[in-house]
Amino acid sequence: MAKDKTNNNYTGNQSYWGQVLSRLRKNKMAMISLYILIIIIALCIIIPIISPYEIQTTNLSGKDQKPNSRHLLGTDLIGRDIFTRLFYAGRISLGIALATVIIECVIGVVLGSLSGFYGGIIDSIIMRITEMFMSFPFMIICITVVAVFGNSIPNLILVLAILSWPNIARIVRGQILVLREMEYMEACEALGISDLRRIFKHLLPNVSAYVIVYATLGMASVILVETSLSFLGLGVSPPTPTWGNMIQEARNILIIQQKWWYWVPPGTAIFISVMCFNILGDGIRDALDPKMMR
Amino acid sequence: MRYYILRRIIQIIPVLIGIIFILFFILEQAPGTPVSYMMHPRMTPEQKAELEEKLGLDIPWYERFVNYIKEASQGNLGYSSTHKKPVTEVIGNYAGPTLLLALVSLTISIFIGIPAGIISAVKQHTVIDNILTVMSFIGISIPSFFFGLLLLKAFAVDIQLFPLFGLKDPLLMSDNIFVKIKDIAWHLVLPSIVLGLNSTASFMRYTRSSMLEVIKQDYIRTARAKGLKEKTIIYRHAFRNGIIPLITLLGFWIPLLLSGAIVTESIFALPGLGKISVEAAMSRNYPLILGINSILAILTLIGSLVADILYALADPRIRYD
Amino acid sequence: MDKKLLEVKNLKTYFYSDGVIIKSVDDLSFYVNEGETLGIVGESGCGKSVACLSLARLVETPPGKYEYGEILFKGEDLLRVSDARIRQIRGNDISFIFQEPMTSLNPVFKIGRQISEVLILHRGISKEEAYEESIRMLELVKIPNPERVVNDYPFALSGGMRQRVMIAMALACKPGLLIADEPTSNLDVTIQAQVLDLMNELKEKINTSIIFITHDLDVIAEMSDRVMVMYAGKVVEEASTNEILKNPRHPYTVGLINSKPNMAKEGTRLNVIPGNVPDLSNLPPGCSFHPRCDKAMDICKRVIPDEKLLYEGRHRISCWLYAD
Repeated sequence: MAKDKTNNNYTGNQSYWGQVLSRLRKNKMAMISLYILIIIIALCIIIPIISPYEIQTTNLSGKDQKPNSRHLLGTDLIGRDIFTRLFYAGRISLGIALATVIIECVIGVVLGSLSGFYGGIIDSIIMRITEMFMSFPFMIICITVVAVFGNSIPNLILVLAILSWPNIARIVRGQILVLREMEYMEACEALGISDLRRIFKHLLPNVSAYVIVYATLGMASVILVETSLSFLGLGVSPPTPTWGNMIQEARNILIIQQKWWYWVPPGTAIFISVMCFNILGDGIRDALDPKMMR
Repeated sequence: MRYYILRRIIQIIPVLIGIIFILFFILEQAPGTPVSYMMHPRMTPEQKAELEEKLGLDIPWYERFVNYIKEASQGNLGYSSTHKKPVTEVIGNYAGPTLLLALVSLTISIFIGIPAGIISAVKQHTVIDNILTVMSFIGISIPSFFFGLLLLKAFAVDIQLFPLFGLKDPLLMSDNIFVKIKDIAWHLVLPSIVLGLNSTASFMRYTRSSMLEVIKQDYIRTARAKGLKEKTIIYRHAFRNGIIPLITLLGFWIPLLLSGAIVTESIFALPGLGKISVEAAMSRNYPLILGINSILAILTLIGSLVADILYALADPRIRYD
Repeated sequence: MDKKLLEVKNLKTYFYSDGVIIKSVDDLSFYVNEGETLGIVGESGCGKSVACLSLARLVETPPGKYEYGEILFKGEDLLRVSDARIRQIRGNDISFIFQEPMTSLNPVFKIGRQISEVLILHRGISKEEAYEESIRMLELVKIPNPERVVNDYPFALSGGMRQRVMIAMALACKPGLLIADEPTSNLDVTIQAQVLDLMNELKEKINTSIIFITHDLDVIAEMSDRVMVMYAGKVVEEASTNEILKNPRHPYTVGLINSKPNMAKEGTRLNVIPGNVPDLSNLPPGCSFHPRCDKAMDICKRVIPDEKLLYEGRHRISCWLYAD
């Protein structure tokens, strides 16, 4: 009998994550976004080292300077260096976003898994609660809660996380419902693999991929909300800089017209970070779908 | 079908009450009662008690909650001390601009976002798709206040094409209704663009991904095999299916638009619900806060009910559940 | 003398993806006479579906491309007619039914509308007339209660019923050629038999030729007058159904026929053709089948076999074993 000399391409020797990562790497936009984010985060971290100024250093005689060689992005109305403030603000805005996303994911994954795996009454209750939360006008509840409890940073993080977990919970629940019905889960059951093992080894890896996607996209949306709140005066208050409240100072026609370096850098920083998170999250989502062939 | 609608309405009521309950509970946690904000340092305890009784704060909060629900269902949402008017009147006065703004933005989003999404999907991987996709990413990523400021700088400050703020020109002396409408419309151009940008971009992306899914389906191949024109296939066979997931989104869009309106109204100083919400939050005007939240919650739930009904109309498969 | 309805000459349909060329249909030639059923047999991926989609230019281009060849249908070369003309032909002169009845109908349109659509488009009749004709077509395909079904949505019908609707839709304009791509592979065996009977009956009534694609030899035996066996984008053998089943020549065809489980040989091992279907982007040199062929000779590994006509032209084969 002739031996099989056919030559087929198999990607079966790569692990699941390996495949996902290699698909992601082909997505140029996503990779560029990733690098930009790394640069921004790095700058935020090392800003104390590279900047000779502190965020509180005022210099009234040197106020309102346009960007120059000593102040890369100029100074504000009381002489503080904007470049320095920009990246300290980045720490705050990104830090709040990260904390919020972590908390909302934890809550969302737990409740979503319970809801999806056990179904029944638990599922109904949790779904009703998510529906309630999602019916709230987001910003208005934020400002209500901030009005009541004050706008300290931990409060902000908690409020944002509590308003955002329903989204994650629904995604997780949806994934679990789909996976539960898949034939290979039935096969697992038929083979006698225990419940817990099924959850951990089979369901969670698939679910965690989607959670990562929505966590990334969640970073984008939290940054937008927090900066909007700060802009309105209901988020982080000065003098602690966040990208949002740095723009607050631009609610003055004169500043809009003449002193663009007050507000354009923080606005651009928000815009670029959010866009990169969105592109990256989208890219990861595309990389997860094996049928996406470009 | 009618049964379905009835069932949904009945489902909404406990959700609504639940929302108001949570709101009530949150507001209860505020340190100090509202009276604290109205007190003189030299008020005697008796005067304080009297004031509290007058404001109905001497009964336990769960009773107050029930009273509130009773009153609310009859149209009484309390009294705003800041405005010296009933809450319902305050909301009524300021709702106009917000609703107008939201309506215009929604219209822009539907009539620009959805067609753009269809084109993007049909011409996938071409230059036009790439451009539209980049634009949609920009649209969902740019903070609305930043975008608003940029537009203000470009079109109201540097080039004085549009007014800077407000809804009407205070100096306008005219009884002509068309002049007045044009004035308002001109004031609404920039705010509508700002508020509409995010939702237009989102609609575009959702439409695109939905249409891409649909175009891959077998029944589209069948339609082509029947000899139909490509336009017919896309705009009738594909679109009719592609729009279904979008309809469910519409229900959730109302709270999003209203949330976005807060920032937009703040930048453009429009006298709308967004503006007074912020003011109410800052001045701890609880009746007003509660009232606005409740009304918005109702609107949202009605919105999702309408979305569900439209969904049932659009997709025959779920009508017979 | 049979009249040729369709003649395909040297068709090549390739797919271009990520720098790789997939030769789905590679120099394919065949013909269909009026009033006959041609069966096309082959494993998944051999190019039979792509070949038939090419007939009405239904292949997605990009990534596909009609690289070469002629498709002569009633005197016109379908690869070169205008877009408007090919749209006139689709659904009207050449119709399709596909393998997945559950997903081939538009879920949000009523049955009546979907059948009427093709009548209004090609016959120019009014909505009411098309509606009446749809009911008649549903009767023709033996759907019970056609007046009710015409107002139903696809989800109300079973797979077998939906496939009948597809047949009704395909035959509504009385096309000269019906292309059926594995129409019964997803149906229960009993329903399958009914649908196949129906197709044979309608073929007589409407005088349509049929191209029937399948991987099931029993169905081929029942439905087709002639059979064409495809492998890796090419024809390896073609003859009348009787010839092919009783007197297969090409090793692949022999393997296919032998690999059917046979009750008479109970207790012996199943015969299989060793190896796998080749990667169409990376075909072995020479005869594409040689890696799996137990009669492969040296020339098979180097040179693609020429076509030969045996038995006075009634039997066509591409194999070096018959090169003389």
